[in-house]
Amino acid sequence: MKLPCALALWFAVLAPVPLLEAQHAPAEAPSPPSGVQALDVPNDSGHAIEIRWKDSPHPGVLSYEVFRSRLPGETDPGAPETPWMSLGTVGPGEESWTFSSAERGIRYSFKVVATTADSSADSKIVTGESRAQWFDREKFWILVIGGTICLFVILFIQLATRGRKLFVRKIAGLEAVDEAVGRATEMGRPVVFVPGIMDMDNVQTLAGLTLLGYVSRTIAEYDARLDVPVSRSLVMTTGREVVKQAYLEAGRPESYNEDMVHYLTDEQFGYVAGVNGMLLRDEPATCLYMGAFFAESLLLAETGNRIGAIQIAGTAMPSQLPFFVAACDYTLMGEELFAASAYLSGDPKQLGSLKGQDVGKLIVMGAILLGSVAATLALWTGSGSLQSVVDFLKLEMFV
Amino acid sequence: MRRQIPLLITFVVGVIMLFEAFIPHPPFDQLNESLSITFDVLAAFAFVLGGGNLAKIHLAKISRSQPGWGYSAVTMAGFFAMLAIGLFKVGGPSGVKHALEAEGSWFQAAYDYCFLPLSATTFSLLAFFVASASYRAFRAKNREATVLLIAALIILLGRTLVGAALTETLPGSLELLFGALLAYLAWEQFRSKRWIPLALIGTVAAFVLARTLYGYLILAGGGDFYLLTVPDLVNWIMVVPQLAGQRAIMIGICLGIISMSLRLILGVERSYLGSDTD
Repeated sequence: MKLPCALALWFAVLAPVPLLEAQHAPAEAPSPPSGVQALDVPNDSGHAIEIRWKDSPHPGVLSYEVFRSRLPGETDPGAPETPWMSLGTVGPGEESWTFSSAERGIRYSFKVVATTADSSADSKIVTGESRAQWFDREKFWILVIGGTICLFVILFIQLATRGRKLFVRKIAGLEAVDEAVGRATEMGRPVVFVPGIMDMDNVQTLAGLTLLGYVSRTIAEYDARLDVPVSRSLVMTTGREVVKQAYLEAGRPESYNEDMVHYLTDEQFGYVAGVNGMLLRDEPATCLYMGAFFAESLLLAETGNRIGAIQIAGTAMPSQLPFFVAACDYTLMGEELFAASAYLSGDPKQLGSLKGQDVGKLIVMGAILLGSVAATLALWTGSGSLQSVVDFLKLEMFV
Repeated sequence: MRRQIPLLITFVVGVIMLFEAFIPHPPFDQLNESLSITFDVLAAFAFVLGGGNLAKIHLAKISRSQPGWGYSAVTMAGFFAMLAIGLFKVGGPSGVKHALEAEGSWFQAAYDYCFLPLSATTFSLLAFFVASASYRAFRAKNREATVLLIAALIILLGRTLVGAALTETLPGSLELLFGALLAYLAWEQFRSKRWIPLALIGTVAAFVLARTLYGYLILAGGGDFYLLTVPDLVNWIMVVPQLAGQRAIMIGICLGIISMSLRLILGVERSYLGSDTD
């Protein structure tokens, strides 16, 4: 029994001594973060400063806390320096912090404090200031590509104005508009036109309203009935102007009634309930949905399908296209909606803009082909230069 | 003049907004937000026009007892009730500084217990409409619809537990199914004496079936061999063909917007401005 007792005594009394000694030994302070810099974040309106430092080699660093103090600046030279304020804390291994609420023209002091379990070390104090830039360099290639497309659009508009013949492929959905309006006339039922649920600041609504102009002119010529329920007041006033103009051009101003374009509600599902009620009560022969749609797309199109109406839809909302394709007879997909007014008007200037758009497609196709070939070859050969071509296309040109 | 002034405004604002996209420096950095706020203010004023039109049309229907005037009566009752309890802040603290959603507000109660359930009910109809639209869309009427049907079935399977369980309990079942389908197509080519398609389809079918059998041998020997699973196939469909199609549409939309915007800025497209005469 003596040996176990001695061991127990040793463990209980003697063994903790060095442990306790180790706990009470003064901890080694971390070396302060080095290489601290305060740099203006580029390509912004002058509201951000990035603070960078080098990770401390001390293994016990638990975090880095970034502090700032405001110095007198250009806008308020007499202002006193403010006390240090913590911006935030990051874990070990992190080497930067972005101060994103800086005021333009104000100089700030920054310091980074490395903290261990029981000590800390301040870095040297650095100063920095945010400046606004006059050009966002990250958008350089967008400017180049967009500018090229715009130039070609303008060029083709000019060419078309001078009488050059331009070929535009047939769009089945638009070819069917006349037939759909004719059917409504024969059946003595109205044509319902829904210009989406967004306001006049949405380009799809504008595209829808330009189409409304063409459709209402045809309706006026056929002497059919038109019903345009809208969900925005500004769309209502604009829609009325468009329909009035169409009736004037068709030589039937007396048939125009401003209540053809009427307001229902701004609320999405309230609007759906209102339009669906109209569809079920009036049973229109033709339903046209042209504009920006969300969840209501299928609710409207399925109801139209149930009453047996010819339905033509057009939207640039990719998530809603499958619903329209499933429920409508014809669907204008994305760019076809924007091309519709040019296509229907037959105006050479507008058709010229479609040709310019095709040049954009050629540029994109070329870039996709180049990227695919370069990426495949880079994978096979491990070539760094080919990979840099891929990186340039992905990260610089089409970011 | 009725057209020239709006065209000039469109041109000037359009060009400024083009610059705004590339210039982060003040005053361009705030332009987008400022113009959005201005538009919201205009839209708020225009709401009076919308509300007035709604009341005009429905009150006329009620007064003439036109067919469906009962619906108009319900609409007007709801419209004026919400307008009154909102304007007079019934039930809640009155005064400009108090919010409409304050404690005890009838407006908030009407919103929570009438409007929200009605909206949710309308939205819920989508479940039934999706089912009926899917049934119509997925009928194998032609080759494209058949491809759509197969893709949809795979995705439906893969997004449920059934898909994962199927290929876990029967590894290689997808390869066997695909191989059998190709073998059937090859047999059809053989019967039609179309030798080139037969050679192509037959080679692929033989490769798929041989690879699967080889995989079984490796797995039986305790080795490791990858056989396709339904969730992996679903992932591939979503990430490769589906995404490629979606991106193509997105690129077309972007180009369409550029072209449409230029037509509007340059005044080539002006039908949205309506009549030139009063």
